[in-house]
Amino acid sequence: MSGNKQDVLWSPIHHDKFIVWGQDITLYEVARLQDIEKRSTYTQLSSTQGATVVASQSGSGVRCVDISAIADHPDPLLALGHNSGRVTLTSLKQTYDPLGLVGREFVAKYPRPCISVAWNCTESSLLAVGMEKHRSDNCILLWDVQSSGLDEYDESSPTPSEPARPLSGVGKGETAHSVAWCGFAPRTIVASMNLKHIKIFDLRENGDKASATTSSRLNLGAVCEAGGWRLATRGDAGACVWDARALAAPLLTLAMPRAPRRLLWCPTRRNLLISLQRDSSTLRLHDIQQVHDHQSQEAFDGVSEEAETEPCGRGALERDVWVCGAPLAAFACHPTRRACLLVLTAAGALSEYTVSERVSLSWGAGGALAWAGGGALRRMHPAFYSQVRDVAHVMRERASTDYGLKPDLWQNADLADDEALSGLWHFLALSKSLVEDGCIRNSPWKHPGVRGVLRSPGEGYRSEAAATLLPDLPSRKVTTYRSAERTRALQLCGWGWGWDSAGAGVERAEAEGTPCRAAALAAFHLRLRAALDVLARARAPALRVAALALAPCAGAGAADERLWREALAAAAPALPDPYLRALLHFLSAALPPSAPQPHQPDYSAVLNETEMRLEDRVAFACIYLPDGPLHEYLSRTWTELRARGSLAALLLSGVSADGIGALQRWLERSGDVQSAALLAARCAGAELLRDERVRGWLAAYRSLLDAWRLWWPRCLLDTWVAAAGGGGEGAGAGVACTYCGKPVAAAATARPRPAFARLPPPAAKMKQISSCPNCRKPLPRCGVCSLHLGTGAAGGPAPAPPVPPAPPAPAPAPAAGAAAGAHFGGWFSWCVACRHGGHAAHLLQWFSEHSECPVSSCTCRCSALDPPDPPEVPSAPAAPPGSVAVPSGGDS
Amino acid sequence: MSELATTNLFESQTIIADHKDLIHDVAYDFYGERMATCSSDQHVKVWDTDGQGGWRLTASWKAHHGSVWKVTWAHPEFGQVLATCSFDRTAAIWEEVGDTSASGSEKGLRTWVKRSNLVDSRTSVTDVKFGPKHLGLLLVTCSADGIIRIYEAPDVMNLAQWTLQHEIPTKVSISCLSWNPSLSRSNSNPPMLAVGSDEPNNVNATGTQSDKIANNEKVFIYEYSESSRRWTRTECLSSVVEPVNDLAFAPNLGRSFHLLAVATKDVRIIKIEPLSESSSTTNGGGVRFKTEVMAAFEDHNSCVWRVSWNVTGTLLASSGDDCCVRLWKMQYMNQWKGVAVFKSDAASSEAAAPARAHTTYTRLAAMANPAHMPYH
Repeated sequence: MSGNKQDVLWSPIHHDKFIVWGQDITLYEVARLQDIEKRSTYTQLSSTQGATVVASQSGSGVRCVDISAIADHPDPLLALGHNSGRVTLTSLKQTYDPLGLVGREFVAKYPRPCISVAWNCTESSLLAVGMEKHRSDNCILLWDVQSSGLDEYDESSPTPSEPARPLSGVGKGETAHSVAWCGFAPRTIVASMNLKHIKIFDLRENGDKASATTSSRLNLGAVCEAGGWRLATRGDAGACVWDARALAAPLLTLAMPRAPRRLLWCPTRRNLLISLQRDSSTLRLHDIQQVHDHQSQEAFDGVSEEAETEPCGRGALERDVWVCGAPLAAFACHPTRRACLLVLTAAGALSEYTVSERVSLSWGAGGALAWAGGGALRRMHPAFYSQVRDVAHVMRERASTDYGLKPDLWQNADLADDEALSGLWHFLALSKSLVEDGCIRNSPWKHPGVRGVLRSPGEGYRSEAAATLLPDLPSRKVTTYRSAERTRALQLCGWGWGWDSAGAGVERAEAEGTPCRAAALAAFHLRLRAALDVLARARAPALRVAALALAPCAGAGAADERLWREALAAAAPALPDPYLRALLHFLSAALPPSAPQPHQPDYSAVLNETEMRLEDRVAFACIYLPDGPLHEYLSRTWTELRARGSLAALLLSGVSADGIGALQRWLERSGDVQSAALLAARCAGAELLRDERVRGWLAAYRSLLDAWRLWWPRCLLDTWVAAAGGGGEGAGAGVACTYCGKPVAAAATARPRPAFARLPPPAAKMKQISSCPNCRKPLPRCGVCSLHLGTGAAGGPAPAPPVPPAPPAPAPAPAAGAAAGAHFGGWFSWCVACRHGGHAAHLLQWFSEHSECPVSSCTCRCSALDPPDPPEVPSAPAAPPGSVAVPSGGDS
Repeated sequence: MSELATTNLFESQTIIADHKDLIHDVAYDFYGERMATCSSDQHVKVWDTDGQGGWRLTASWKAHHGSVWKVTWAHPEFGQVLATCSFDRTAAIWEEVGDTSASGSEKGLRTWVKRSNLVDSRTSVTDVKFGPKHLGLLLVTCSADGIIRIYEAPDVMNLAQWTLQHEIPTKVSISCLSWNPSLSRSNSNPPMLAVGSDEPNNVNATGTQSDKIANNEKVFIYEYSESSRRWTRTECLSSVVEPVNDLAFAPNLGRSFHLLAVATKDVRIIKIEPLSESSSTTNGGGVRFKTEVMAAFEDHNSCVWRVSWNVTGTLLASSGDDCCVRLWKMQYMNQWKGVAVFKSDAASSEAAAPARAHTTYTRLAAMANPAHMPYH
């Protein structure tokens, strides 16, 4: 029977040693793989750890094993219970034995198989032994290995082989199938008896009587939770959890499809019971849940008290973990290492397994990720964002630099730190200036795009084709197209019309360090000489070589030209720079092989150089393509860019209804709601700002700014939106008269009405008003100074505490207090809970010393309604989203 | 030790939470400056930043009589309010108040007061979430017996009064839920909830074939209809058939579709695109959404526990059975890819004190440099 019994046990004190017990009893020592000597054989437990065999002995005749917790023993001390009834102590390895325990034997009076041994963990010299039934002997014997050992030496008894006597024994005439020490009381044992009972014996009392007993079909292998009152037993149909204080009925019955072979409480985590079923390759974890504290102290929730009398206040979360795929024979929990299991498969292989507990995690608005695992909270290091560029982090960085809020559009381009975005801001600045200068008229949008400027051919629009001479090649002509619309489109693309404006562009491109682009621009304007000069000045030798390719066309004879053209066509794709390729394609297409008759050159190779900037391609098309193909090219490019969600599509659409669609696509692709919202706030008109999508962007970005506590950028954003006619939603707080319900501040601003010019309202002349300008009823009084709100707070006796300046542009205009231009200290301010209020400065001063409302007999703790301010912020900020100091109603 | 030195830079900060049992949930507040944790030890703890990147424990109290499953913050507009739910079949609303016993100089001390106890559930309450703030002060709970309950505080200043507005029975055990955080409030975007079920798949189901299929779906979308004033199930995600441990809608930053992350056997990112009104009416009104599985990652071995989005919905964090926290990032064209793994290194803890488990940062993939993208 013991032949196929396999088990694995960790030493409770030697945390790197365990035994495997089957045919043999083998002691293993665990070490990191790199610390194990190369030659020695080891069993790999995990990716980092291995176990080496320290010692081994035959396990024949051994019925049960336990490892002692005696602390000062150099190697694990084992108690072996034999079939013969003897219990022997051994350490498997011949080492120094300070206590003289190795080799000691404890023999029961009447020999019969010994079924179970258990060392006490706290009083480490105590050993409990459970035995088969004998009618005149106890089945549970308690030995004290040290004192009975001392007896032997002290008495120096003449017959040292005289058997030591057990300290005590219980259970006469019964069978103890398993014994285990209880964690809740010293010298208390729980035992499974007679295949019928679970009994708890308190061995401090003398007597054979169990202190608690119950009978159950699930009565085997009782184990007790360390430091808790709960017991677990197993049986054929599953397992049971008991409360040792109320053993009458089980707390919980855990049904299992197959009989559990082993049951253990996890020593490192409360409430976790681990079971292994027979022939199973999975371990089952039972997270025992129990509603504690049945007598609720809080009297007011009487409902829950009543509910707790029902018996269903407990349960278990069960989970199967798959360890290594093979059927398992045994497992052991590491005594201290968290959730570390050692499993032994039926085939005898060992492996280590870490039970991973539920790791819960959460992202903070600031970009920090926190997670809780293994009893600790961990946080992602902020340096993560230097490695992974995430748009949330980028947006926050940008927001703190007032990105998108600078007065001039082009100023935002540098803050964007992104090529496509900064190009877009530059384009918008350009289109704005073109509209303002009157170059582009009749555009329904503030920022028209190329497609808006070029009308489709169907609208009776025709451009004029002209044969243009090449200044450097007098004999050649190239057909170009021009019209007023094309000129505007070229301006939008930043090219301008004619060499006068384009020449500056070439110089700029060269100065920017893109000589290829400069050369291509020059060539597209038919200035081949200039293109050659640019390439000749280039630093990179490869470009100067490229100039060689251009040279023949400037002066070659017609005879060589075909050869040159073929060479160009072959060489162009190999060139690294798209502009150089485009340049060569252009030359080979534009210069017809001395055919005088007009033909339509094929520029598709140039236009398909998608690595060229979109504006250059579009501008090229605007010069060289006739109306039909131009329109078709633009439509095709637009569809393609829009489908791809590219920001460059805005060059074609401008900020229009189409452009909003393109921005939406780009936003979905990039997640950059910031730029979308800012572009809309700055460049879209009132009509576009009413678009559902745009309002969604603005709302999302506002909420982001709020979450980042970036109030001022949010205020500026609201200002821009309000200025563009989008309405100041989100900051809609106002002060209204409690009697007539009309806004107090709006009346003051609506003052100069010509119809009433003869009868100016009194408020017009006063710096501050103390009554409603509509109904003349007085405004409420300040709780501190007892003057009417609206009267200046500056007259107050105390110096105002350091108040941060009001937001630069008080976008929520009505919130600026009753009288326009009132100092911040004179603003209306009140608590939304008790509705008492006063001058902001007075309240700040009051709450710096008090926590209760200044109005007598009001016990509202107005100042405590807000969360504590983060430490880096000074103690008296304007705290916009709080409940104090935000106007939202009119009464006081 | 040389490899440790190189990863030192990314070693994350660790605080011993001092919960006596498993921590079930971590929740940041709206500003990301306060954090609440809850645990099987029935306690809830609140941590505040100290301004230097550290955390300070400011409150800890016994909140329930059983394991506390989830904790969540209300929008700060409603004050400092927490909701918790527990195995003890209740959900509770907590509000922070100044300590009434402290004098004026010590008013920084804070205590949390139970404002309300929601006791409608007959089984363990598995999740609790506050609704988006534009809907008012709403709270939704779900319980193991599959009933979703939606509460509303009619007066936001009185947190003691919550009225049970809706009770939605689902017939399956519900483990988690998530509000759609979409900010726009229009007919095409009614209030929406996603719920996930952890009901195990019964292999020996004796029902008919159609029953089995219906039972295997684990993620449901509920929407509130203004006209009928009811929450109705408008979608079952047929792509998820394994028990779901967690799910989360991504913050909707102006996107026209919703992203739902689902923690099941794998990490799944599902795109839910509302169909326009016209097309849904031509379909007979039955189909409201087009759903598409954007990504499914099986890197966590067999079980994913939790998922969480960052503020923009561009990074997703997940935790699973492999003891790792993994980050997934949206690449161009809505492709998703793992970018980092945080491993709770159990092997190194044995050398140091057992509690000093530290976390190392491993980089998975180099990011595509934006400069490499073709420019148009």
